[in-house]
Amino acid sequence: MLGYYLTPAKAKNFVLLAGSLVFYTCGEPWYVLLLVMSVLLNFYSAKMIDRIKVQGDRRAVFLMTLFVDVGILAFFKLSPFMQKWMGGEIALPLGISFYTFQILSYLIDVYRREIPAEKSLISFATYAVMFPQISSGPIVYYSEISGALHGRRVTLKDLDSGLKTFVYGLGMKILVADRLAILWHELQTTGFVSISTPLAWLGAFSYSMQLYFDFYGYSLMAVGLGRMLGFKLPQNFNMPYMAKSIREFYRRWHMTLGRWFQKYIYIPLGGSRRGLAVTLRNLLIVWLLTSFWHGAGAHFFFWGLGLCLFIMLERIMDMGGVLSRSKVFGHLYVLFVVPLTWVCFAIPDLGDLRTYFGRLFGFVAGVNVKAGDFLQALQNYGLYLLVGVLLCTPLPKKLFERFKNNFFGMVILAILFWMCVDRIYSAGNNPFMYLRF
Amino acid sequence: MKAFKNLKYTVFIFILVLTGIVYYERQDIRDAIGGFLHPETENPGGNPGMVSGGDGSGSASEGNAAVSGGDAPGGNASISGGDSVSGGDSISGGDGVLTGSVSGGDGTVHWRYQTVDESYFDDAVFIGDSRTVGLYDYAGLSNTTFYASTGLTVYKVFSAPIVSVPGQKNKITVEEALSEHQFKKIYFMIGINEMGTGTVDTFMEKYKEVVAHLQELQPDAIIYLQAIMRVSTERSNKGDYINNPGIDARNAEIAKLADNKKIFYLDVNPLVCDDTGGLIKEDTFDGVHLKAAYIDIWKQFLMDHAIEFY
Repeated sequence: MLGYYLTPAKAKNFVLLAGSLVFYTCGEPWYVLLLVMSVLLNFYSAKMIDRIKVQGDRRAVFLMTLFVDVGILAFFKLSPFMQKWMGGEIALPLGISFYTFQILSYLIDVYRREIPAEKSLISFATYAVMFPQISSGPIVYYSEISGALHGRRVTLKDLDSGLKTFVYGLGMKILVADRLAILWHELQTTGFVSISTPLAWLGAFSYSMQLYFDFYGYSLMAVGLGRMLGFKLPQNFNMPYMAKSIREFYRRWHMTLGRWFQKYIYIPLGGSRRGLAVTLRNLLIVWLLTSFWHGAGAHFFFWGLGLCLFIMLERIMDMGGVLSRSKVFGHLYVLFVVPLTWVCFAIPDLGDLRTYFGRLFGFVAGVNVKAGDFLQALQNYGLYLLVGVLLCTPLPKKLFERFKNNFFGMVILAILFWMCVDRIYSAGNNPFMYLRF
Repeated sequence: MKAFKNLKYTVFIFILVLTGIVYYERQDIRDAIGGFLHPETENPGGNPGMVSGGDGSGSASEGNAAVSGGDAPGGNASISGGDSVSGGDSISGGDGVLTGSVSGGDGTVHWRYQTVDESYFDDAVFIGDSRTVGLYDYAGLSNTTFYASTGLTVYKVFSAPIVSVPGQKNKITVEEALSEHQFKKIYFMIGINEMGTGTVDTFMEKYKEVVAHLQELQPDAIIYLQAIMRVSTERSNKGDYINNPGIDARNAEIAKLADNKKIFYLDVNPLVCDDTGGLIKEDTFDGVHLKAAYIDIWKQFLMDHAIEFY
């Protein structure tokens, strides 16, 4: 890291690229070859697409590259189903969903002549594999950081601001999300058939927050690290749980994925301008693809389809206006529907999923349910849940912006940082500390 | 001047470094942070796992003295300790080995299994780790005493303050609790958390000490040493210290401690394991703990294997 700051501006990309590849190789010793292949293929294809004048040839090169990219991604997404005749499990390469989509956006943009092809392999490779965001986004457009790729000055101000954002995200992930994750793990260990209905609801809310803080925390860390390296990466979340409709929720949740689908799938299909029927068809396509992007499991399909249905309903009944004007109903509606969709997201086994919904709505009878399990969970996780609820409101971000340059704010951030270190350190001694018996 | 102005952006880094030095230099601060962050470390389930049971008027010999049928799957496995008892011991029983007699200096003791109802546990205490906490949580034995805590080991079973006393804020140790209350039966299952430290021999050395001390504290109690429950085969093959061969090696040694006079060995594993020798996959999420819905198998096994002397 220090080396990065000491190297001259021109060599910075190279150092960053080398560091990122080492980082990736540590996690995925073999799949790094796949990543490198992907980068090389797309770099040279894009160059060709840029240079060729004949539209038909351009198109052919473009489609072939697209086919390979999407094919590799689909292969790994489908691999759980192909295990039987491939003999053995195939792990998903780290970050493949993210880096493939990022590379695709570049390829498509070059094909559309929105951006010129990158001339420097190192710059392009840096864009594709930059370590802060390769594992879980945000999905960056090439145009957003091409300027920084070719010449950036990392100021002390960037370093300072990025570090603070990083600590904020780290705290969110380690001190809140990872704590709430224990509750969800406990529910699974107990078995869903043995949890009370109130606990099932608490679990759904807790999981919703856990997922949010986990992902948001990672995204903030990526943005913070990016800033420390001199890049301005796009934000991925904008207080999704404050939304008043499902449609709005997904404009605030994982925004860089949402805008990707919007730009490359939804709008080219005609978006919402060609009548209700086409709009609904387009929504369905986008959501089926979104489900598949998360994984080929049937539960993801239910998750995506469920969301799609609600978004369609909002369209058909034109509820957008009603919901956004409402003060309370819109919030209640989102906070009721979204956790239910996350339950689908969380539980891969359809039998278990049915059981969970059965416990939520009381149509599956409980077995050996412990009296008062809900209160006990509240007692154990109440603090984290409360912090979580607060973190879903705009307040913490305001406080962060207001106090991050204030001496006491910085002391608090520093303490948070060392608390995280403490947690990571004790978890490092015993990676599954909370799984002790 | 401009460089000077930029210095304010290094303040946070300085604070970070300074607090870091304080953090690493001061063990007490580190402990305070740790204590605040994971107060439940002792007990991730957050579950005290403790209830003070009824004051126990013994009902051991009550219940129908019927010997459970030979088809009780756990039956065979649980007698393996019999031959280690000195003296002319004879173990009889038809197809399933369900009764035994042990002759010692003071005469012959005849025993057999009987099936009892839950009230049998009213004057019993269960001591163990998170698996026993699971039994406490989901078996519905509301009159039974449990001294159980997640992460409990033979090394700290007497010293860990895990027993809550009604009307008292601080918890007391199992040692103190056992000195205050006498029980008729002690159910003991411990040993999985210890697998990461020491060998089978060092574990058994401590385990024997614990059992001897239990006898000292509770001279009238029957001690049921329960075989450590195995983990799922998938979990066992994960490659860390938790594995079934290690559990089996410990269980074989634990079984030898049974004298079939005061100390008996019970092995529920045949009932909860599949033909790969690990916990049945569907009955566990993490490969270590039975799901709540399957706790009854264990409870029923214990109810089918209550010792009756005759």
